[in-house]
Amino acid sequence: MTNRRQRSQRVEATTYDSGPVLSKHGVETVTADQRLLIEGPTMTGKRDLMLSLLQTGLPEEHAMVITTNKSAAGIQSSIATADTPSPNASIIDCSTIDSTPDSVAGEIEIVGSPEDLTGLGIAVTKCSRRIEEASTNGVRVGIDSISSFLQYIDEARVLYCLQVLLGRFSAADYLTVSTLSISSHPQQVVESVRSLHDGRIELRESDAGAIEARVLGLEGADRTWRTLD
Amino acid sequence: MSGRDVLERIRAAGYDCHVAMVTAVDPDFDILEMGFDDYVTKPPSREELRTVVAQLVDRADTADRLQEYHALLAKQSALRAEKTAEVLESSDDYASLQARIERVRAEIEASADVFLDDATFVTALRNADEGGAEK
Repeated sequence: MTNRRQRSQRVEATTYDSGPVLSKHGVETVTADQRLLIEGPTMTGKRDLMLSLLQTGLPEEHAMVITTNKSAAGIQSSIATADTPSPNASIIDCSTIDSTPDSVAGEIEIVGSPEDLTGLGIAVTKCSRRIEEASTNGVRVGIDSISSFLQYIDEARVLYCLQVLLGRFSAADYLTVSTLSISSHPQQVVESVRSLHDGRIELRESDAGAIEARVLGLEGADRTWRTLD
Repeated sequence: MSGRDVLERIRAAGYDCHVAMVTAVDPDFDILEMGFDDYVTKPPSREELRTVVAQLVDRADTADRLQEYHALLAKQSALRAEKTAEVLESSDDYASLQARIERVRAEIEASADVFLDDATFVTALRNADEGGAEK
């Protein structure tokens, strides 16, 4: 039999439901193919916000998470909710944490280090093939965190890699949500990462210790700082 | 001579070209991990050979544009570090640099569909792995 080239298919989604946080900031839907960046200092809940944006689509949609700081098992348990105890989630574990994948339900690809970009590419491809076999209403991808890639790999290569990853997700009409810890990088690097995304959610801690968010670059976003519930 | 030997000889001779392998079985990721850029299964039709060559050419163009984009960003970053915002705003060279960055970015966006192809996607990341972004 002649081999047919393997190609990722576009999903059927044209827009994604924005979820409670974004709608509070005036954003009701997000166009399929958009790339959102969640940025803020450490300990402002970037990962939790990313996961909640992915959870908004469950159980009808699929989630794919590329994790660098938390184990696949940890992400699996964080993404499950009371309503969706076993979500359609594929986790790509690029953390250097020793995982015990057999004890965890669901689909996990172990890459083993943020440095292994070839391994990451193969893992993404395997996940998108599986998701397409299952057929789905949409796919939301979390990349947590771009900062880890910047710790292991030089800036030019990270930007190149992000452009390839985000280019593929966007071409397939996936919604991508990345996180970036802004305290760790020079302003120019932050600007370059922002330029690869369509919109962003900025997080900060107020003097009173509350976490605040504002949304920029998305349709309807009003750029106002508000307390994150 | 095996395909692997051929690839090693090509690299040893210093050729930085794309290499596709004609294989008996569908090797999928194995061949990409070995360092090949693409493959066709035996016996390839004329059409399949044309397609794979055309895709390798497209891919080289995309890689060139990505490299150009990052070279431009590095230049912009260096300028921002050494000149004030007022100086840059009144500079024609800086304005044309920014226009070029936008143009190359739009070209990359327009061709992002190439990354839906699994082999193109994985080899693009492999190139970043090998430091290809700086070449």
